This record gives sequence, structure tokens and C-alpha cells, in this order.
Amino acid sequence: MADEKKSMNGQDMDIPQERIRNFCIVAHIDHGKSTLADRMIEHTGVLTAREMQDQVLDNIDVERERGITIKSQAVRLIYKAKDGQEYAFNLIDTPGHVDFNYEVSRSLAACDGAILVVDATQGIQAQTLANVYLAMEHDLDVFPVINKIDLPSARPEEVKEEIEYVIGIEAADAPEISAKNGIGIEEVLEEVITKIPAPKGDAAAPLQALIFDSLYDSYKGVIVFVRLMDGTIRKGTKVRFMSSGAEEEIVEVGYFGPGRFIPCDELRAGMVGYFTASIKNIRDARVGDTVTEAARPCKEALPGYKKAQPMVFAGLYPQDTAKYPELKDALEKFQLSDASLFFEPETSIALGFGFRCGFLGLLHMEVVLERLEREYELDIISTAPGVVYKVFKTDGTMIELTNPANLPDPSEIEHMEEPIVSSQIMVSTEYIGPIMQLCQERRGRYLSTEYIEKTRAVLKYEIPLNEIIYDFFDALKSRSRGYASFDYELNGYEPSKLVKLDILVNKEPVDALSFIVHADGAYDRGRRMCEKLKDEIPRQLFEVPIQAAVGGRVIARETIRAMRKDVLAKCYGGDITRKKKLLEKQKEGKKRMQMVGNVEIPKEAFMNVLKLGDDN
Amino acid sequence: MEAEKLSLYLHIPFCVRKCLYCDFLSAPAGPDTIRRYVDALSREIRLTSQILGVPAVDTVFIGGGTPTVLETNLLEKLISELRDHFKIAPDAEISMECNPGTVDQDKLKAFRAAGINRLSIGVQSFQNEELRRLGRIHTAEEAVRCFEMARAAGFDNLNIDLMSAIPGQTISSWEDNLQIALSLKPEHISAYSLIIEENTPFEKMMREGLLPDVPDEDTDRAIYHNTGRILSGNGYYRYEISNYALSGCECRHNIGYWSGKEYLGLGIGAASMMDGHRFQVIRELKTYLELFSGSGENVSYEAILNDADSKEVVSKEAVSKEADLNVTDANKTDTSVTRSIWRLPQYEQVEELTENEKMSEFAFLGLRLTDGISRQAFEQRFHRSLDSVFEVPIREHIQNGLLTEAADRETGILVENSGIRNNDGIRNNYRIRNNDRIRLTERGLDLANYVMSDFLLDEE
Repeated sequence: MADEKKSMNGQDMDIPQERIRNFCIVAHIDHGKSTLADRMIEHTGVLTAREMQDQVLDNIDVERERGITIKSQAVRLIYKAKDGQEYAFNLIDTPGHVDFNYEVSRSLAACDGAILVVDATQGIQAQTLANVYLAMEHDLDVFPVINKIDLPSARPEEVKEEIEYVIGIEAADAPEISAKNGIGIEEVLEEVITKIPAPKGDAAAPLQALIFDSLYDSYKGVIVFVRLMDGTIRKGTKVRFMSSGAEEEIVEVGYFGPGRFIPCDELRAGMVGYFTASIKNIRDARVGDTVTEAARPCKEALPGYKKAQPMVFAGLYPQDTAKYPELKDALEKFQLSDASLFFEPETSIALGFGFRCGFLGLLHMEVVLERLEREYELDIISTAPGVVYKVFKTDGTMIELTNPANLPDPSEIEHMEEPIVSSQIMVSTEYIGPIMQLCQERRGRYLSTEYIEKTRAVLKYEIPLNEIIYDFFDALKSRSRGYASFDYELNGYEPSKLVKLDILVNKEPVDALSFIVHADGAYDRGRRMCEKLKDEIPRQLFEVPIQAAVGGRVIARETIRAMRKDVLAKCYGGDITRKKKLLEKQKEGKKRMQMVGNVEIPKEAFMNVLKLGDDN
Repeated sequence: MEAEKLSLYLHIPFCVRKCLYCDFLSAPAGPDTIRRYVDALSREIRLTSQILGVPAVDTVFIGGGTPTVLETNLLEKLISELRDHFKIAPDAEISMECNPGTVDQDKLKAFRAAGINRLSIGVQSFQNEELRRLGRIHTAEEAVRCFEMARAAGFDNLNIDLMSAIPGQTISSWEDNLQIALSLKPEHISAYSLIIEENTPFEKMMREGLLPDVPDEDTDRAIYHNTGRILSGNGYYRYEISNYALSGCECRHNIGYWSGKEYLGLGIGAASMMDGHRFQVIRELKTYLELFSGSGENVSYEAILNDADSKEVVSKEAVSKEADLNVTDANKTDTSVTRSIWRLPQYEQVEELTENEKMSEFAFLGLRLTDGISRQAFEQRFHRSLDSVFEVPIREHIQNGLLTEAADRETGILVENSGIRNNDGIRNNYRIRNNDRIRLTERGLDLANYVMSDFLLDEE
């Protein structure tokens, strides 16, 4: 038993702290981050190419399909360097989207350095900047590599200049590589050794470890991903979570093999690995928290811990009302591994029983929706996503509004505030006009334009978050023909002239269709909602008015005429089967209807109206 | 229990030329093909009647296509085959569709003499422009002459088929049609809105924008409502969504379809409804002709059926007592063969209706009749109350004004055919109950599908 363990762990447990490198790769989306990670794994021989699925670090199906990373992943590589020594590399793959900025920052805090990957054909993009600045904020040593040099349109020299000019880091000797074709990988591995420092820390000092991610496993409970700053953990160590004070005894420690967890005897200062401790709820091992030894605690927690705050809220309802328990079950399961997902039960007159859910951002919401549909085969209707508004009441209290239905009576509202983000949009100069116009339409406040080179510029705007979660990315893409990239961060709250827009069908308000909008946009939005609903709601036995109203005042109206004719003129012996099929189809259609007041509305109508985009 | 009399439908899939709106199984054919078809049909009549044990028949309907393309001798042959092989009741209704332009005085006289006692004349319109647009083969004048010849030939039960919502038609041009029809004093008028069916030239023309002003929904409904008013002012009452008649002149054969009566279809594509099964004859003419060619007569239908039946009995009751089985078999030979007629090789699309389907059909077909459906008849047939089975749709649609309760009307024929019968076939001891019936209201007739679709029961 002991021998077996030794042979299993022997390969790297002997590698001393000065030959450990903890790093991540930062890049704009599609610049080749995951491909480079794959090549490094392949090159160090942990997996053969055939064993390796493409992009092993991205685990969830949705991630793989979208080419994005939601959860942090980590893998330990053993690299035999040119100096003849073996090095242990801990490559930590960070989430690549602004929704997960907090997770990104915790993953960065677990690293000592970062590889900056820049596409030789595209140069610096918005996320390149955002991510590299974030890395520098965490005092990481960053070195650049230029990827995709095999493409005909590659311009490595210009891109290097751009890096030096815009970011201000040395790039003249940056490796020129093609991750896709395996060119220059060895050079990158060598640079990791020379450019990234070995971790500091004392294995004998009191334990101080950073939780940079965690996931739920139905057999082992919560698996906690940690970077040890000081101290040592092994099976049986009694640890304390400093934010909650909870204490647990470690059941297993180990490190990250590609795609699997490999137990080992202990983790020491400077190492990256995991432990389990029969923790049932992921909320008990929050990302960013510090783990210390209960018997010999460190003096203070590591800086930067905060609880993940949902920024975007929406109601989720099962299309088939009977599936409510399954939706609840699915959300509970997701929550086990996703501490930032929030939900609580709510009911809607139009949609029945469902949940008000909070997400880090729109992408987070889309991923959850997609997983519900794919992994649980649930058809979900979601209400329009909204942000968290601060409603200051005349009685001096303040409420954080996540559901428009709960907006107090206007007479009780002193004023309202909405979240604002600072955004940077990197765009080809020819599209500056349309993009500026888009930002104006979205109530953006212009800050500056900075030219990176003759043909590209960074536009800086402050924009209400509400305007961004509502199809901003699509609009940006279509108005720049894809030549714009975008990044933002939350920048506090500001007072705003906000109103609640209600949609009334046959004089009954449809709760699922209520929005908080800026007063200036209410008419336009209301009119388009009415028009769209008119097309979506089939004719009824009676005439049905569709109205948009703000504070009881109707601002737009459409009318659905009453049904006039729905009859088959002929039905004789030979027709009966066919006519019956027609009636059956009609009956199926009725089953998909939801009664709102006395009007039958097809469930798809809610979806289609809520999907209503700006550019169509 | 006395067996209900059977209705027969004979399909004649031939016409002079396809009309532009027609999606029926019909095509022009040469005299030789028609003769071969009549031979095959005769053979089908013989074989099925034998197997059914020469059942009694009270209505016959010869439809198409244009059955009047048949030469007199061929029609006579068919009618005599029917009379030889089925027990056609002396008072049976024997209808035939008739296309103006395919008949003359002699032919009509011969048809009448052969036993046809009701003629349904496919006039469609009395305006030549509309007839041309529909692709009909006859003129308005020929239609009028055809009607007059039929009267002269001794037909005292005549229907005129009219079509509304013809492209280019207006409310007033429609009413002209109606007035001309009324002036001829038919016993029965069928008035249909044109339906543009898939895979017809009209559908293609519609898509290509080649049909002028197809009347809109409002015009269509105005025409429908005016038709009801004008006809009822002249003594014709609407007894079905699109059918109007002088009292006592309703088409008994068609009422059978709407009241769940059994019927046997003969000829290609003809549908049957027997013993809870719906099935239809293959649609392929060539296959049909081969199947019923002279050489195939050696095939023993009885053998096919007996073989299939005994297999079924064995599989279902494999463990039952053999002695019993033999006794049951001996006693049941007749009915078990009857029950399995859909096993014959000419049938396809055989469908066995579940109890729920039977109840649903009773309701949605019955609601086509303006007298609607009878609670008593339903209970008698299904041993459950109509209101318990259809509680929600009845309540909901009475509430929203699409359905209403009504007393039975004294039209006789409707009551008799709605499934209420007593042993001697006389309805003297049938007690009329107030509000026995559920029927569509005027508005309900406009929105019949909306109501009927709620009467389809889910399968458990």
C-alpha cells in the first residue's frame, strides 16, 4: 500500500519548491488560450494526443461548444527542461468572461505569473487588455507569446509593438508560435521557467491557503481547489474556513491530473491542489476564502475575499407546469457547484410557478438555461433579464429590487438608482460612428477615445448595466460586422429616471412582461411589445386590446380582432380521418396556451416577445 | 339484437377533366379502363357481401369523380350487382352524383329506371365566369337544363351543389346563384365554401398570386349567414353545417356519417367504418384492378379471414378451455368473419377506434348536425353520460355562447338516425326529453372547429 502510493506520487513529490511554477494563460476569446494549454499538456507527455480530448481543460459541454471557460480548471504538468531538471507546472485555466471576473481574480491570485496570448492577426482586443490589467493588478509576472503566426495575415512584429506600446511590457523576444500546429511550444515552456518566479512561502509556517475554485462531487462532496501560500496539509489535518469559521477534517489531498484527481500524501507551501472533507454544500467552501489550520491558525486571511453577487435576475418557469419539481431539483443541483447562482420561488399569473434566479451576468444565465435544457431536458420560459435596482422610499428605507412586480407604488418612491458599468470597446476606426451611436442609444456617457494604431481605437463609455444585458453584444456585433470587442466592469449606482412598463392583455396586466425601463425609452419599447404580441396571440372569441402602460397611463395600443371563422365546410365518410387530425392539431395547440385573464396566450408568445431584439 | 342496416358508398374515380380545386381521387380515363373498373367493382361487391353475410342496406351513395360518366349499361350492371348481393331495403335512398355536361335525357331516364332515386347535381355556380374560373366542364345553361331533364326523368329528390367563396365572387353574385337555385325548386341544397386544398392547381395559383380576390373571412361569413336566412325564408332549413333541405328531404346517407352509422365503401379510396374499425380501399387503380381481376377470383376470401381469425383467437385465448373454444367458434363463425372484414387484402390504413375515439367522433361529427348530439343516444351507445365524459367543453362552450341545449326536433329522420332506435324500428315509444340535445349556436357554427377540438378525448 505504502509502496503503491509512493510510486504513484514519487514522480513529483520530490520536486522542490524552487522548481514549481504556478501560472495561467490570459487571452481574448478565440486567441488560442485553450489550444496552447492542450499543446503544453501534450508536450509534457501527461497525455498522448490521442488520449486527449480537444481542450481538456474545458469540462462542461456548454463550455466546449461555446469555446469559453466557466469553471476554473487546473492541471499539473511535469516538464523536463533543457537544464536537465524536472519542473512541476501548475497551469490554472481561468474563466474567460466578464461575468466571472471575481472567479478570474481568485484564480489569478493563485498564480505567480501569466502567459499573455495574443493573436498575430488580430492584435490586442478588449479582453486582452482587461485580463492583462487584472493579472498585473495581482502582481503576476506576465510574458507575451504571439500565436497563429502560421496564418497568412499574421503580423507578429506589429503586434509586438502594439503590446509594448499599449500594455507596456517587453515583447521584442516574445515566442512566435502556432498552438494549433505545435510550433514554438518548447520555447514557451522554457520561458515559463525563466520568466515566472518560483512560489514563495514556508511549509513549516501556519497554514494559509487560498480557495480559488470548488466543485461538487456526489461521492466526495465538495472538492476544494487551493493554492498553499504557507504551511502543509495532509489527510487528517483539521482546517478552518476563515470567513465562516467552519472547521472540517481533511479526508483526502491531491493534485490535478489531466481530467482527473490524483490523491497524494500532502500539499506544501507553493503547491496547487485540492482537498476534500465531507463538505456537503459548496457555500461552505467559497471561492476567495482562506483556509487555515484550526490548531495553529495564521494571523490573517488573504485579501480580496467577497461573496459573489448576482447582477442579473430573471424569472425561470417550466413550460410544462408539472415540471416545477424537476426545475427545483435541477437548480438545487447546480447550486451545489455554483455558489453564485441564486434562486427563490416565485409565482406569475401568466407563467405559473417558477423561480426568480440571480446570475453573475447574461452569459452565466444563458449557460444555466442551456444546461437546464440539455442536462435536464426542461423547456424553460424565462422572463426578460433585469438588473438589481435600488429603490429609495419616502420613508427613508431602501430596497434592492430584483423583480419588477415588487416595485412599490410610485407614491412611495423617493428615487431609484441603477447599476452603471465602465466599458471599453475596441473597434476598427471605420465602425467608430455606428458604435458611438449604439452607445448613445443605450444611454451611454462618453468618456474617451484612444487610438491604439491608425486603424483601431478604444472607446470608453459609462453605460447602465440594464442596457447591456439586453442584446447589447448582438447589436455591437451586427453594427461593427464583428470588428468590435467589448469588456466592462461594474462601477456603482446612479440615480435614474426609471419607470415600470406594464403590458395589459384585455385590460389585465401580464406580470411576466413587466419591465423597468428608462422613462425616455418606455414608449418605443411599449409600442414594439404590443405589435409583437399582436402577432403572437391568436384571435380569440372576442376582441382583445393589447396595451402598454406606465403608471396606469396607456402609452401604446394594438387590437386583436375577434375570431370570425373556424369551420370545415365539408366532412363526409372519406374525410373523417383527415379532419380529425386537423382537430387534434388544434387541440394540441390549445394545450400550449396559458390563460391570462380570459385570454389564451401560447407559451411561445412569451418567449418570442421577450426575445424581441433592438435591431429587428 | 337486430343488426343496424348498412350504408354503402361506391366510388367512381373517373371524370371528364379535373376541376382546378379538386383533390378527390379522380381522373379522366378511357372506356376500356372504366369497363374494367366496373368489373372489378362488381367483383368486390360480390366478395364483400358474401363475407358480410349479405347484409341489409338502407342507403347507397354513388360518388366520385363523376359517376355519370358511366355508360348506362355499366351503371345498370352495378345496381343489379348491388341488388343481387345486398338486401337493399325497398325504401332505400339510392343517391348518385351527377355532373351537368355528362348526361342527356335518355341517360337520366335509364338511371332513374335502374333504381337511382336521388340525384345530386354538381352545379357549383350559375355564372359562366365563375364556372370557367373553377375549371368546370359545363355552362350555367347546361346546369339548368340538366336539372330540368332530371325532373322530367322522374327524379323527385334532387340536390344542387353550390360553391361559395369562389375567387372573384361577391355577396351579390352569390345571392344571384342562390336565387336561380331556388327558382328550380330542388329538395336539397348543399352550399360549401371553397377550400383551397393542397396539391391542387388552385393552391399553386394562389401561391403565385394568380387567383383574383379570394373573398375574405368577413365576406365568407356574410355569405354564410345570408344563405341561412334566404334559404330558411324559402322553406329550406340548415340541418348540417353546409346542408339545407325541405323538411323530410335530408340526405339520409350523409346523416349516417355524422351520426356514427356503419358504412362500407367500395371502389378505390373508399372509406369504411365497421365494427369500430375505419379502413379504406387501396387508392392505386392498377393494383385494385389486378386484385379484382378474373384470375384472382380463385382466392378464397373466407379462407383468408378464417385463417386470420383463428390465429387471433388462438393467440388471445391460448390457455382457455379447448372445449369452450370449439363451441364458441362454431357459434361465432358468422359474426367473427364480419368483424374482421378489414383484413381483406384490398384494405389499407386500418385503424381500430378506442372507446374514447368513438365517443369523440360521436361528438364532433354529431355537432355538425344543427340538431347536435343527443344525451340519451350517447348514453344508450356508450353506457355513460354525455355530461360526465364532456363536462368541461360542454360547460365552457355553453358559457361562451357557442353551444346551447335544445329539445329534440320532430323531423323524424334525424332522431331515427341519431342512434336512438327500438326493436321494431319505430320511434313511437321514444320519449322526447326537454334539453336532451347539445348543439352549436349560430356563432358556434362559425367556430365549429374551435368547439369540436375540445371534444377530442385524450387516450389514457
